[in-house]
Amino acid sequence: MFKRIKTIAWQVFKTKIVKISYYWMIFAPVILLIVIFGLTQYLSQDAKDKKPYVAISAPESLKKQLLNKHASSYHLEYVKADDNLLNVLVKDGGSIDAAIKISNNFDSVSIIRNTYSDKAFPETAIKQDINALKINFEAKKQNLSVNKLNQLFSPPNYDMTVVSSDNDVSNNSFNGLSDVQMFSNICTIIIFVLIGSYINIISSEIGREKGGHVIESVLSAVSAKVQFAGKILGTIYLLIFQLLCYLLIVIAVKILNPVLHVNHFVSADILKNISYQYIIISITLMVIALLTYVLLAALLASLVSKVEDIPQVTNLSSLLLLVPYGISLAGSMMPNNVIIKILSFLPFASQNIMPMRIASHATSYLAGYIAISISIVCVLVLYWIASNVYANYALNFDNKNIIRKIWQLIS
Amino acid sequence: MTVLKINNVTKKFDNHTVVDQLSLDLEKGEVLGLIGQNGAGKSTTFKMILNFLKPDSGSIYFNDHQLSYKDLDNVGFLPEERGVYEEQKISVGIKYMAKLHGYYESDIDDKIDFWMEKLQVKGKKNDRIKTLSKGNQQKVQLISSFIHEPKLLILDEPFSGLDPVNSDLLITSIEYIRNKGAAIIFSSHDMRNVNLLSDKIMMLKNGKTILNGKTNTIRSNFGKKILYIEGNFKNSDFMNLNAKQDDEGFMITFDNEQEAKLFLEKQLKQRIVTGYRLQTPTLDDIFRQIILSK
Repeated sequence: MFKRIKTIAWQVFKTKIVKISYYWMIFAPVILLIVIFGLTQYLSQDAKDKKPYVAISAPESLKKQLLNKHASSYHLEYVKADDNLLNVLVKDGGSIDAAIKISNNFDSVSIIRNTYSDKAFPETAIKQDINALKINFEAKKQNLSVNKLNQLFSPPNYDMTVVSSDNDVSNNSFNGLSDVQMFSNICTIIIFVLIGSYINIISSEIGREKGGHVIESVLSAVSAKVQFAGKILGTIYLLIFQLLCYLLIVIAVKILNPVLHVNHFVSADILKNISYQYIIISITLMVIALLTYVLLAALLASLVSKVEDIPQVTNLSSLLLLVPYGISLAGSMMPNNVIIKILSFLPFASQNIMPMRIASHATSYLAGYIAISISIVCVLVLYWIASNVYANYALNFDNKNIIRKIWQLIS
Repeated sequence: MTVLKINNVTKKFDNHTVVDQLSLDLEKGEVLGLIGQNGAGKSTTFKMILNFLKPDSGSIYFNDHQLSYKDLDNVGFLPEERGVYEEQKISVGIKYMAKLHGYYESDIDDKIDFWMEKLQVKGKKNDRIKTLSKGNQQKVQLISSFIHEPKLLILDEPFSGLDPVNSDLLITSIEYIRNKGAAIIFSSHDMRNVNLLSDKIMMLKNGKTILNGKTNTIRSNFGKKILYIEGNFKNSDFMNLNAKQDDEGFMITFDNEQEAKLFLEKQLKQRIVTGYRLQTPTLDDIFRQIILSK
């Protein structure tokens, strides 16, 4: 029996890996990441290189102080106090990107921006500088010394320790919380892309075979359960192949690092600050979640009678995938909300929410392992259900609406 | 040796009986033609033989034991709804189906060449199936159904979609497989092909078995009630009779052989008859007669 399962799995694998669309599915996220990263780098470098020219019209004393600030994010250019600001922007043919007019005693500050400017306008930095000037100005009026002023505005020394209700989290060795959260976010995006792709693969594998009536010939040779097992195993082969491709990319980048200077952009130190337990929990939950969604998509695709109905089942599975993705993004602000807590243990959602809660120090590694155990049990149960539904519906070609069939199945 | 034995099999869908108490025996090297109108229960019968459907009652034996999934290695099936992996190459598609049937013989390439030539498949082994015409795709599916040399071959409407030349090619192929010892059961609406191929026929009507037996026996049981007569006749001579005229003479169908003989004797005495013959009805005639009868 296992020989047949392997034959079917190999067939699924071979059919996919000869298609260009499959490689696009594998490499598109990598290419997109490179493009997004490259663009971001370019834009931030461009912003650094191109400082905007800001004209200032202010009383002499203020002008000098502002010029002395040596602003790093903009150039200042003095214009006469009585100059009309709009005229300044217009007459200089666009070389001035913004103009500021500060009145005596800081009664009013007018800022005019040139919308044709190709430089980023450092609004926050400019406002901070003007605020500081105003504070100095007011302090002088109140006869306050510089030391006194500094005391007034210096923040306290914060010392934060995170402790969970069961004192468990304090043992976590997260040196860099932001690194963990970044890793968690990357995992969330990767799993979203991967699950979306594999939902499509398994749905079209099962749906097309059924819709095209090939299934009748196949089931005259093997049982439906063997066929189903082969399809799932073939999908797992594809996943392993995809992960191997990514591993090859990482190795290639490591080898080519002296030429490409990749570590100039991406620091390998990110992983150093993340506990290996956190990585294991996140990746295990990711893989199990992938299987869970593949099985769900396979179950739904078994109900399809016509090829045209395949998008309906893929959309349904993808919509379900959006729920934990959205909750994990929104829930990071309140990781101990009771709904978020419950969802973090539930299959179909734990892959996104549990790593987010661990990253937020809202729960322990133990909770992560419990979520993994629940997900494994769910995969086994779901496999059993999906396999039986496939066996019952593989040769069912009635014209009932797919939603009606799902409802019948549930009820 | 009995390859397939079906005992009193019944199948109902929502209280509607689709197959009612069906029984049949099929020996090694025997061909059974299953005939009947659309919805008579032919495809349901095939699905029960293949374990796609469980009968509500009765039993199906393959080689003297209850049919199980293990037996599928020795069964070949061409479904009524054609479907192939269109992206695959011809040889890959055929080999894949053979492998699923547990057939790993090394000389399968030679067998593919043999059958592609015998069925005159227009294409090369390495062509993708999607590049073939529908008829040729059907031939590839047909080859896939018997390349593993099954002991039982089930063909659901194998002639549909084939022109007369390809139908003849299929007939010679089925005869070749029969001569190698396979038991074959097929359904068709083409009575000419059923007559040419079948050792036995079974006719279903609303799930019930109306006819079952050797083809020749069934035909002779209907008697020589068709009279073909030539001579100096006019249409008006056969008024109130079921008569059809062709270039040479008239074909008259009677209710029974006795009536036909009496009519002939009368004509021989009264008229100048240049030629005549009493003949058994064709399967087509039998089919029409049974279907039209209440």
